[in-house]
Amino acid sequence: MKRKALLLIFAVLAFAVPARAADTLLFAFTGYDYQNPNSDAVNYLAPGEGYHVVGFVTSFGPDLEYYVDPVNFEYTVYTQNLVVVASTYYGTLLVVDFGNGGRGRYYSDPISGGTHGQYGTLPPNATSPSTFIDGSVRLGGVINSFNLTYDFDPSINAGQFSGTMNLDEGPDLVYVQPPPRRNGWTFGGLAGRPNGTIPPGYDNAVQGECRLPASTPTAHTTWGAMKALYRR
Amino acid sequence: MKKMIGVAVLLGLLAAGTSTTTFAQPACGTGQIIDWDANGFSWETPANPVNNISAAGNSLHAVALVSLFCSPFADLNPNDPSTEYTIVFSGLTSTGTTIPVSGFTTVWNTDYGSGFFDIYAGSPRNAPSYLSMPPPGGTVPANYQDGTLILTGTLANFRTQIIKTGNNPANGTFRADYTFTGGTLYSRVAGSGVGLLHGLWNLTGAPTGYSAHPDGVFDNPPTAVRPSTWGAIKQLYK
Repeated sequence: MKRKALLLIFAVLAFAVPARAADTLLFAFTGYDYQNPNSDAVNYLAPGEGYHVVGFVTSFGPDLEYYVDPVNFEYTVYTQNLVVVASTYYGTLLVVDFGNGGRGRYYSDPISGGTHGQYGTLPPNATSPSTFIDGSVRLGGVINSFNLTYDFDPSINAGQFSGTMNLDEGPDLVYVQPPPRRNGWTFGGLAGRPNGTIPPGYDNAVQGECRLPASTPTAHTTWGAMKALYRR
Repeated sequence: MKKMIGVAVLLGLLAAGTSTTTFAQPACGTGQIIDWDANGFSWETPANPVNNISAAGNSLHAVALVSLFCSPFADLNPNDPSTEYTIVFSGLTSTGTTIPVSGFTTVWNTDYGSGFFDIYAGSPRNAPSYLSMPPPGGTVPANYQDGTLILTGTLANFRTQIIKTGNNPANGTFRADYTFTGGTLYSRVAGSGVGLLHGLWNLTGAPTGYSAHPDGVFDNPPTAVRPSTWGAIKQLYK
């Protein structure tokens, strides 16, 4: 009987293990982005300007999904302290680099009794980001090496952003285990393209994810085997 | 012992079938109609792109599990335990990859012309998720193509753009113009015109056999319509 049980367990585990580990999703989000301060009205994301993403979490990955309650809580995202340090054009392609020390967070707010996130227009405004950050911070992290590229070619007219996020705050931090896994998440997304559904004052529709890149597979070997590789 | 077996089976099923916790209405903003997140995968035949270059004539395929429905489909629950909502892209043929910028920053653009999309409501939930995604063939795309075809449509101007700057990992986006043309729920969007399909085109960490992990959204067509009756319209003015 024990042997049968073990066989069954191994069989189940064999089907459960993927062929190769994919990236791990922490959370995905959708929303809009805007510049603040926006000191240069002509040039998009000029040096010194700030970049913000505000929106809603649309799904959680395996680290968090059993600890969140989307039925009773609204989950929102917001980024801050992302300041442009350089912007360079390559033809129609704009490459924007940001200083380190940005911060990304997701918040929870009760659906009943809380305040539904409202974008409004011309952010920052009376409801944005305030109604997106009025709950409690559940998880946050510092964002470094953040950059944004935007291709103004009319056939594309869209961009993307990406940075490295090290998780360091919030009560949901404890669910990301072991602690070394809290570093090295990629916070990235689509920024674009202009369309009629974007509220005035926001620049782009944003579709993004915070994900942990899959580790490079390793294999045990010996010095002898490695040397043999170079003798062929 | 039976209890242990039960626990083992349950754990195994959880590991194999878990996808993500997805959300309902509150997450809807002003634009999106249908959204998918972690469970989106693409591949090309006869061979996946090499070094971000897609061979002209390649066929692009993609499948996805819906994460979020917004108006006019907000009544559909992507987390329904007995029904899954899946998306299949087909008929997209690569015209080859161009590299308009190369150097510290490199850009790869690939156009795929026109194609189709189908959205199914299938029971039971049997499409594999990113935690247990087998290579294309077998259950992919088959288990994404079962059930009732609730929406179908055409894709035009499908393009992916991959950009790598300095030491940052390559990242990508995609976009296309879509038009709903049929399906059992077509009446909700009939005549709504051309909408924008766009999203991330993640290159890293795609499961074995896949070229990318798209995470995207069907945005509202510029002119949304809603079926109504003369009686209902008259009621508005009373």
